[in-house]
Amino acid sequence: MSEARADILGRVRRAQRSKLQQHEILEALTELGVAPPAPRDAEDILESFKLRLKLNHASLEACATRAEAVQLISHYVYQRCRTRKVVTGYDPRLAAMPWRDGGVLVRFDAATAEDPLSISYAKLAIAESGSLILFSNRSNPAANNWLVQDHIILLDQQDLVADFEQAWEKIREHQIETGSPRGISFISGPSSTADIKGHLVFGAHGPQRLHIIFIGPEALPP
Amino acid sequence: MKQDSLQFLNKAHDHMARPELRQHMDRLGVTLPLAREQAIAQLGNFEQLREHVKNIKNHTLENLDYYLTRYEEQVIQRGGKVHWARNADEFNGIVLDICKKHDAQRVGKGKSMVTEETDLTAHLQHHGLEVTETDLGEYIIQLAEEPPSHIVSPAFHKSVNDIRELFLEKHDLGERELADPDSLVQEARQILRAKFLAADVGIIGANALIAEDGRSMLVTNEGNGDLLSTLPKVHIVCATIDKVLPRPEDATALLRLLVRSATAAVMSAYTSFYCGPRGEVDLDGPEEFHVVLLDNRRSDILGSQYEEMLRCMRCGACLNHCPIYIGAGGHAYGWVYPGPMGSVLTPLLTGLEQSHTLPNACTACGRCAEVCPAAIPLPDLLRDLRAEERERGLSPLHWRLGLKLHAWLARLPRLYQVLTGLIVRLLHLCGRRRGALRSLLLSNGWTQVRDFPAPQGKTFKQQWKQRQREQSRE
Amino acid sequence: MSEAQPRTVGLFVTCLADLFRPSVAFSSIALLEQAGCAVEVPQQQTCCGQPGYNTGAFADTRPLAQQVIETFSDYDWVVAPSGSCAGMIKHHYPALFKDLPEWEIRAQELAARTWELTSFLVDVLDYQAGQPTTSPEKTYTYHDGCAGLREMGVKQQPRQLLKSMQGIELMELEQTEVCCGFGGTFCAKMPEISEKMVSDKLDCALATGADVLLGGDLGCLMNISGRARRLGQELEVRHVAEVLAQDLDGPGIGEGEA
Repeated sequence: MSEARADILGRVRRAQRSKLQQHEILEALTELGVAPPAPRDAEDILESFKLRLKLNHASLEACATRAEAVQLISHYVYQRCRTRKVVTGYDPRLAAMPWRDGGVLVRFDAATAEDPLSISYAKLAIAESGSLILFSNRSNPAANNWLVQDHIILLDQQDLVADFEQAWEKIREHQIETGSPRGISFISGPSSTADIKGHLVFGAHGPQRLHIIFIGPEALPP
Repeated sequence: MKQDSLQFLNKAHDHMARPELRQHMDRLGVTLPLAREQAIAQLGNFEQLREHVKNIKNHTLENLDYYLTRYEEQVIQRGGKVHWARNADEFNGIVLDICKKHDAQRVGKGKSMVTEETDLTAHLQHHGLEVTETDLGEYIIQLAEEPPSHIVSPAFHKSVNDIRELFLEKHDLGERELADPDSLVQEARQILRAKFLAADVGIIGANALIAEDGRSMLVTNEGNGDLLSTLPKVHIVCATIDKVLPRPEDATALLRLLVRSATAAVMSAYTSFYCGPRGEVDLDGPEEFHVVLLDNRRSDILGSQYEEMLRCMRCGACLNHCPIYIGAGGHAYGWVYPGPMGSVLTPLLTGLEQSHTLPNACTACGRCAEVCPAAIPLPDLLRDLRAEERERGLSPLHWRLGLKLHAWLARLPRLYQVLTGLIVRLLHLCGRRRGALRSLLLSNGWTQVRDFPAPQGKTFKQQWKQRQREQSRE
Repeated sequence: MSEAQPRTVGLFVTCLADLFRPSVAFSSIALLEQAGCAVEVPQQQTCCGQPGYNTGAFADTRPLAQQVIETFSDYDWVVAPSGSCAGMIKHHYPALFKDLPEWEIRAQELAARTWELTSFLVDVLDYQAGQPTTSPEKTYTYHDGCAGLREMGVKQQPRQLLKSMQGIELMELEQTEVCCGFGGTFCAKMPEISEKMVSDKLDCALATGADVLLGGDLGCLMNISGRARRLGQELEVRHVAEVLAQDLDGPGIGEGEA
């Protein structure tokens, strides 16, 4: 359909108002800047993030180390699903966790429809919206985010940023280091729908529950 | 999609004749604006943000060929393919060809207004494909064989009982209660899960296309679009040429406005940015990635007096805030896009001949423009469309002549005063006792449903002149 | 106001006040004079041109707009007891002359001097009336006309004046930002939808339990009172200027001479 392409772009060129050169376009864009800063629910980004998660109907636990996270996961998984089996991607951080200490049996793979629960490790998180950022690649196959009933996401305190703009800066850095993933997802709550007369129901197609485990000293209650 | 926008008044009448539906819509017309108002108040810098997004959108439209080309380059670089369609037929043909190439039997579809515009589902079904809408609202109206009544909540008009009866009839699952929304959602999840797993092709829409990295932004709460982007072996993104934005930051700036305006939430459950097929190191994802870009007269709108309409982000806020949409119901508009944005877009995309009633469904109250996150002056665009309607002789002749007469008379102050003085005197005499007239020649529309308040007596100007005369005599 | 000489207001009467409710114009004059203005009423004025403009008859509206621009060129201010007519002059006249720069400038110049009555009294004159001498006998609610609300920023001003001049505390309407369904020619083009809208508005007004509904736009008020009369509902409907000026001898809008 190259004819259609030439036709459409030709019509666009004739119709559009500006006839700028590339560098002029980019200069004009830079001049427009980015959006004014987003409001935050609290002064502190961690507080803000926690509050947002709650409003987004996600649950949150916190601990100081990954070893402790394993214990929390072990407990959560057994309570929820009466199982010890979980699926995760090949995230080196996940691979290095002492799963056996918690009696958790980990399969490193993409989730299937039979997996009730998956664990992901967030690249970043955003306080503004209570979002966890996951890359869809080997370290976290996309199916792991959406095929399961329960989704657990781990987050390191240092990866929490204030807003979308900061998140994109970090995402660009990550992409330079580890390559550009097929998908970048901001996950901000369990799957939900209000399509039936406005009633909010969880577990529309994806996870019914989203559980966040926050790892960092400041996360602990004093 | 088959269009009958000229039946607006009849269809609005049918809508209003159903008290339960009317009540339901009235409630939404109260609760949705209240919720949005709170979300916007919490945002704190709505005006500033909307100005910024407007400037970014305008900049992109002013340099649209650059950004479209840039976007295409990026998609190709990531191993995807971009297809261009001038109109609905070309668009449907491209999608069908992709499906055929892969011997696809089953297609899973996410919510996409573009595909409603081209009636893609019917086209694919006509060629033997099984197409399942996976957004719950879309799925419900697909079962009901109805068009959407709202651009964000397609089954806006369906009651819990409507949906229950529909599921009992269409899902062969034996006897069951299904009395509440939870059990309905669970049943839909079960049915649709099988569809996701079996789909050969996943078709989704896009809330924005990002020129910098070739990704498209997909905003959902259900996660259906993400499943369709992940499980089927072919992934097709459907979008129109006006959806492109320069940078990812621009897409998320728009997102801040979009989600709050659409659902009063701060964030949707899932916001994903996809581009390209699975790579060598991926464990899942599609084997092929396609983007189909539709023009369908948008290049005509570009550079015209209606260009601002291309900033529309399809949030539905103008619908929720329009008392005429709430009163008439979404189906009255007779095509894909209802409410104020639909009354502008439908004539521009399908022609005024097919739809000139719609721009008249407006009292110019301005509430839509006030809440529009893209700052589109909808009442002004609707007025311009009425001007076109008039110029092209599509509006009723008696209206055109009547208003011409009024304009002529109003330019002759003396004659105007004498004539209006006489009419006012007459109306006063007829209506003075009751204070109002029950019927009135040439104003049927008014007196069908309300009395016509009678004038107080002499006109102000007559009384004023008299007073001036008396004063000068003193 | 620092000037010793009163500055002159040209009253834009509005065609509805001229033809149907002269008391609104007389009340407006009284209020403006109380507030220290010299008021003149140019006799050349007829209609601001909204009916044609809103149906898209731009070419027919321009001469009307030019007539208004000429007629009101010499006043310090132009004041209308209507948010929609004032909005027409302030916002839509300049838009009408986009292609005629000379007239566009004149339209903008007029726009800068044009005000809705209650907004003019509060925002421009900062009018402080004396304490009300009597307490109100009736209860009141208020309908915000859309153009006043959104084009002219009229919301608190009438409330403030009603309170300070007459001691009136309003019983506020639910859904006060929703249109009453008048919309000029809209009510005649789409009577059934307009009926629903005005019925909803009337229900909200009756639900307040107020005796009187006030407003700043006669179009809305005739619409609402017309519907109330048709349904036999007891609701007195008046323009806010009449209550502010206490020009209450005649019956309310759509009421007979009792």
